[in-house]
Amino acid sequence: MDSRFNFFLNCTASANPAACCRGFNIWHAIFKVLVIAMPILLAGQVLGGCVSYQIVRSLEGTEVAAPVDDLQVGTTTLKDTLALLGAPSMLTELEGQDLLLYQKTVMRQKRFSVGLPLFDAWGTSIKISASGGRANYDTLALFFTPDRILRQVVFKKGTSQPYKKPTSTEK
Amino acid sequence: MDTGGLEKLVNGQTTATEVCTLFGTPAQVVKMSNGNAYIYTRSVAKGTAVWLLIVSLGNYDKQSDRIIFFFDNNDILTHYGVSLNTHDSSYGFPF
Repeated sequence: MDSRFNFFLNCTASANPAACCRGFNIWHAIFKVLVIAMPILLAGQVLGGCVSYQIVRSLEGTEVAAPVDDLQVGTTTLKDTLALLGAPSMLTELEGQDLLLYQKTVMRQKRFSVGLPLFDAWGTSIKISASGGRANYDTLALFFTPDRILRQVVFKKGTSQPYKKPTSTEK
Repeated sequence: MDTGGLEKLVNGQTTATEVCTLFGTPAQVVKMSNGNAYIYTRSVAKGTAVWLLIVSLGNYDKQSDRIIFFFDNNDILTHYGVSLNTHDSSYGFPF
């Protein structure tokens, strides 16, 4: 406080007190920002090595539309389907049928870890971490006969399910 | 992915060789029940990462352009399907 008062006194005694005081205000503002920011940055640096929480999401593929009336088993052809839905994400032959798969994948991962970096002092460190991940799929599976006529439609919308819902209770 | 060559294709006439001349080597060839499928694909992935002291957020979005050509057992083009989705790939947060 004394040094700031002395700075103020020096300003008033200078040839251009207004300019000097503006300079004082700027330095005072920078000083205040540093006083607030430094402990936060320091705490972050220290805590970052001790506590961390990660949230990651991975998306692949676009929205998969539910089957519409245009997809009629026994009449819709492969050509109609490609014109309606475009190229599938995957395709394969399965037991004499052609399977076209339209799929969107949403994967969510979370990780929490707490540790004490005491390696330098004790030669070992303490760390506890917990992590979990879940992949949900929207899937439209279309089965075609060798004549390329739609034989079966299977649709499952899984991406709307919440991350925390356990898979064991799903029906 | 250049889709300009699609206008030159004629179902029931164009051969697998002509498709390869126009589009190059396919990324994958799949054996189907009544012929083969040639898959051409191109993917774009955009990743976002934000570090907020002890919390870090990440987002990864991957989209693909795909052209799939279906050929009969004589390697004649029967159908093809096109999906162009790479422009839907975006940066963002994991919420």
